[in-house]
Amino acid sequence: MIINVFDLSKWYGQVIAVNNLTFSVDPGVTGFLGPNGAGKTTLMRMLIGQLKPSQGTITIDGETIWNNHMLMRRIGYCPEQDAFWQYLTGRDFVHALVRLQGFSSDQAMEKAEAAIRLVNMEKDQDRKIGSYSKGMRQRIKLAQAIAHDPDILFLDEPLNGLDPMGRHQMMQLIKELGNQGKIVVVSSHILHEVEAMTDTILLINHGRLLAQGTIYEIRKLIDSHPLQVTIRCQQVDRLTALLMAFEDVLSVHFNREKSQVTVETNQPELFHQRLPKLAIDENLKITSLWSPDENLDAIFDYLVGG
Amino acid sequence: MLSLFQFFMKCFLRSKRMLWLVLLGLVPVFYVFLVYLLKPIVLSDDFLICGVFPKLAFSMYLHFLLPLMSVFIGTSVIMDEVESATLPYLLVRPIPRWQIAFAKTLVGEVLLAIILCGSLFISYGLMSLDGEMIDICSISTLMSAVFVLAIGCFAYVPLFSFLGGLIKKPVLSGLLFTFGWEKIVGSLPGSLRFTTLITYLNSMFPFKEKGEASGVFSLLRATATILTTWKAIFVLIGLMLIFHWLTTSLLSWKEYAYEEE
Repeated sequence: MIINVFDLSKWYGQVIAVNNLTFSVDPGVTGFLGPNGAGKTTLMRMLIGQLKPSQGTITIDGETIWNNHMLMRRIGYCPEQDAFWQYLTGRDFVHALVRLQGFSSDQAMEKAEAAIRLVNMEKDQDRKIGSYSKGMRQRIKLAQAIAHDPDILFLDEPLNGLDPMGRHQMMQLIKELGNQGKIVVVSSHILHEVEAMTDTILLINHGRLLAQGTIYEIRKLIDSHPLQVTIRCQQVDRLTALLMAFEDVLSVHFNREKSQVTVETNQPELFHQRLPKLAIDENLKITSLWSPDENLDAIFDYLVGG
Repeated sequence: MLSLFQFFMKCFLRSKRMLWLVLLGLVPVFYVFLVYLLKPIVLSDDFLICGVFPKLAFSMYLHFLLPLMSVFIGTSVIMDEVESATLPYLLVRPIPRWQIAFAKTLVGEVLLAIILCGSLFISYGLMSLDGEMIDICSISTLMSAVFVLAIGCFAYVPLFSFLGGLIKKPVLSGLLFTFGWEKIVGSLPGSLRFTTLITYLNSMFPFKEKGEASGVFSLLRATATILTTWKAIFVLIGLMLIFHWLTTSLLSWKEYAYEEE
């Protein structure tokens, strides 16, 4: 099971929304990451066959998606818009949409109720959607997307409006769906959200694909961009002196009160190989080590020139 | 297809719009009640309320409520799903797109026919309480009027359904069409009036508009082709099929934008 996108573009008159994208998506969770207006939603809508590409192709297991309604049996979609038939109850909404997947009323009800349980909406399922909070609406949208057990899920900003607990639950659910072998494509403009769900990302900005891969792979692409590493060590003075001797270390920021030192290196792999040896040889007690740079915020800022 | 039909029926029946449309459809019934209430005060004793029925059926039902309610129901078929951004939920189902447009248009037609024909039946029943309605309008004549109203629903709704999917602000355009083009051109003598739906419905309706054309209009009207009922039915069914085809084709190929990115 694979989604292949080749040379994909979408333009509206003179405006290019998506520009020459080529990539593939494998099972597991994949994050589409980019600021608002980057072209994520247009891309998502082309992937689910709502918009026709101006150029290029999208295939799911070799089949084109545009006007291919049979392929929709395998797809679940959670749109970004806060859009509903407000006069329906949550249960009726999910049930009706599962019915349209071709299930009998009883089967659809069974599946709808199971999905509603998964998103923790049992208590409010018989209330009209018009009376739901933003978080509840988000959950019920997700329920309709997963209720018919699709192989492929497209979730457009699925965590918008959820409270921290809700976010955590939905992130766990999305990760679980990815672990089950489904293709789960999640779009977001919030970096840590995507980072918490997957390390496979596509960075999109101005309709172009800036980078694709795991966070670490993408980080490696930016080899000219120095990596910051913060080390907390009981012998911080001594460690600082030793680190300053390394050629790849460009700068050192030393904080005695916190017993930590932040170094900037232009050869991260070499640095990470050398540090454990140094600690053993010099009997340094390193209590923690992290890279404030090696997260999506830093990579994204760097790639978009922020 | 059946599940789509049931879904749209549920949506229509639970929407506030439908409540307003039912109330609008019942306006003639309220009017009859009002006449009953006012009769002892302002009308003479020998005035028969049932005598108003032909005029009510022709002016109120055929020329006012049918086109007006068709505009509201027809334009909402695609426009509502686009404006409320619920169309994506439907388009990601394993259903051919044309079936979505067809099912919703059909539900709109059926519901409008039920409201209008039901209202006409109630008005007939109420007016029958005040005299020999059978002398003015027999049951078979009533059934003819009901048939024309129903076929009018099935002709007008897909037209406005197509308009609703094609353009922005379709309600205004629809109202201009029904109460502008249809009224003006439909009342003109000559062949141009055959470009209006109302001409075909008028020709079948059992209660005709009274009054003579005069001057140049009488000459023009005299040269106009006289429509037979079968010819009118054939044309209306043809138009209904064409507008259904256009609406379903539109949803199959048109891309809808829901908001600016």
